[in-house]
Amino acid sequence: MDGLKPPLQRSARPDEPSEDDLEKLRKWQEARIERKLRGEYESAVFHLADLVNQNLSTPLQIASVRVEGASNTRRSFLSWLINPWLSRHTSRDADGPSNLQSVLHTARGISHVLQETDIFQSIDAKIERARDILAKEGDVDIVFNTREKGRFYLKTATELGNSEGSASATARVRNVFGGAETFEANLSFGTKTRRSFHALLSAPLSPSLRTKGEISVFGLERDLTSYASSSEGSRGLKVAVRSDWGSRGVHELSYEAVLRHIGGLTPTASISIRESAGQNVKSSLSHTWIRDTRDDKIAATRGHYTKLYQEIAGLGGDASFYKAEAESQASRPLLPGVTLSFAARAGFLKNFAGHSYFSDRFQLGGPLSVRSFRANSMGPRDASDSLGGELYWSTGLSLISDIPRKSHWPIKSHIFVNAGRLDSMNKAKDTTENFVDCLSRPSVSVGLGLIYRFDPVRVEVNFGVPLIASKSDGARRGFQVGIGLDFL
Amino acid sequence: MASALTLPAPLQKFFSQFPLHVHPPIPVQPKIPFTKPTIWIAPPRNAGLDQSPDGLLSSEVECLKWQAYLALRGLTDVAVRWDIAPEGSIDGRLPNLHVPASGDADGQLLAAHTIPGWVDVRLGSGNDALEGYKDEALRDESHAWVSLLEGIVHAALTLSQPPPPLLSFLSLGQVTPGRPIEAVLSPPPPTFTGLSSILPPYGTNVSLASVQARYADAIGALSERLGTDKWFLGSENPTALDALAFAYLHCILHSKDSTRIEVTRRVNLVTWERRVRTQVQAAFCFAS
Repeated sequence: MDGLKPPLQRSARPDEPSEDDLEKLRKWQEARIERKLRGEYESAVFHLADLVNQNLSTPLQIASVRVEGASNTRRSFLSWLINPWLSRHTSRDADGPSNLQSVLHTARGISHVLQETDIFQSIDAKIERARDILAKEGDVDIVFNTREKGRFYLKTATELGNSEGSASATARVRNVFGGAETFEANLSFGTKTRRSFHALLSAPLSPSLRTKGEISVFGLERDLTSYASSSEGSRGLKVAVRSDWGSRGVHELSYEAVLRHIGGLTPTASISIRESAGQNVKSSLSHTWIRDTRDDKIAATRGHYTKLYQEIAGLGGDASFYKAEAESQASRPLLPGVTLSFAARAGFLKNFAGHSYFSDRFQLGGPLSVRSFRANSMGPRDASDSLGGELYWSTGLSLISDIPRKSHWPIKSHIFVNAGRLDSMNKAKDTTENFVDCLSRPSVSVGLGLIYRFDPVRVEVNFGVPLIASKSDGARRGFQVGIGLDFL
Repeated sequence: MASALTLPAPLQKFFSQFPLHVHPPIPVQPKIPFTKPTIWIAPPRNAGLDQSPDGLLSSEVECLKWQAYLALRGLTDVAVRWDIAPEGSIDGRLPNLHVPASGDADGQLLAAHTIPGWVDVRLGSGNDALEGYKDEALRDESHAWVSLLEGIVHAALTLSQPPPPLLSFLSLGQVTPGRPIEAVLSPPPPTFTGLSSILPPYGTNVSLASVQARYADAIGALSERLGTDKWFLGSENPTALDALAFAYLHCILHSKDSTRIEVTRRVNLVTWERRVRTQVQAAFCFAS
């Protein structure tokens, strides 16, 4: 018996800690237990998935769907959301009788819809044997255990938007009447938009939650002294229906009634602005279609964005016109780290009642529009006031590239060429002549600069010069800074 | 750019080359062609409804006063437009006079109080210390009549205007132009609540009866002073007081309630107003 003699040799493996270090030994033991539990959990999940996959064709029917924990949500609203799924489930005769697979599919669909209402913080789905006394063999209930999110929300913020800054307070009430309606009220004060308020009530209109209806009341007062020697105030009501068709874009149809007022003229205001001063009412119907396949809204490297906007005013009120505006932007990567981006905008306003109002006309120029021109300084001008125009187009081509060896930085460099023109419709000429005139004498600028991604806005610092300009345009040679969301 | 920072010379030279090519300025479509002096007034009573000479006279006393002044000073061929809102005028008060200036396509816009100066330059009439009155005593008397007209007669006229429409609180612009009635009456009217009330002072307690009585006295005095003269205070040529009196009398005669009865009783005032009206209307034309 030579091999066995006390004390016995250590049988631990080399990578295990020795008994001398008790703390280390305890930690190692805990990690080992955790690994074992995780392994058991993973194998349990795997077994469950295996079990489910092998029994997908087991005949099962949904007897009822229960949503528990939704105390602030209306029953009628929940059944409005869930009924289409149930009827789809029961009417799938072509695929054969319902089975576990279709039950799971329905459960997933309902869970997704409930998640989209943004009412619930957590949704747990369970499939249980049916509770009903009259339940047959193979009847199941789907039970959703939910927890609702908080209903009230108040936020104060300072924000940077399109070349302006503002301080705002927002209050939001979720699920106001128990049907995923949202009420939001916002009050803000800023540099260019001196005061604004906005109250909005939105509610879903379709059980798939793709269509929403909105009614809002808004008012704002903007300081236009930098380009039009006046201030514009407006108060209005807007009713809109928005529908998301996925890859086919988002449609919005809305009615708007606005009271606009141009006042607070500076003493140096031109005669044309004085003629535009006063109050007028616009009552209009508009349609917007947006399709966005870009990979990033601020500095996209692939995809395109298209927006079409049409408005017809004249059902009551003073303003009477047809307005159409189109905007598109496309990006394409050329080399690793280098992207080519092309953007174009155009707009057209046709008046039915003689003259157009200042608030409806288009403005052009500035760091977010045609660069190397002062903000809103292009188009018809009287002395130092930009009056706005009825016909415009603008395009921009940019080559964006990463800083060499620092492609992870949010700063990119770019070279740009921008062109555009804003004109008023000359009634003496016909429409085609007006269009041709507008296209034939553009203002063009080139330059280079840096783009900084400062989520959710983009900041640009550019050095550019106007190559061709109209005499009345406000050219800005040299540096120009732009902060905003939509750049040309 | 701030003047403290100046561009270095080579950069300035570089910038001066741009833009390389310049298009002509983008044309502005003028709304109404501008060739003669144009007075911007508040809309006449029957604005746009008839092209009669009556449609040239403003319904607001302040604007009509200046119209009468221009006409009585002897100017003719002055255009009239009323499509400009008060917010578009200098200091937010109509009337304004838009005159073509030599060499300036836009012309020059004059506020109401600078109109006499412009008329003097235009007519070449020098500084008249007596302002058209016969002597100093009459000139001083004219100040008293002016304050009477701009006081109690203005208050009576304001009280006879219809109240603003129901939804005017929604509008963003001015609803009632001019001075409030509390500033016009002398002595200023008391408030609804007095010292002994627990409510803080609010509102205005205008006693209609006393205003009417004082107004009747004022019209009676005006009529007596005019008598059978051609112009007030026996002046040979029309003066500023005549313009003011005409403006008030015209507006009172076209008011819708009983304030006009006081004036219609005085025949000499009615005939005087009619005669001056034809003279004033002849000086204006539509700006189309």
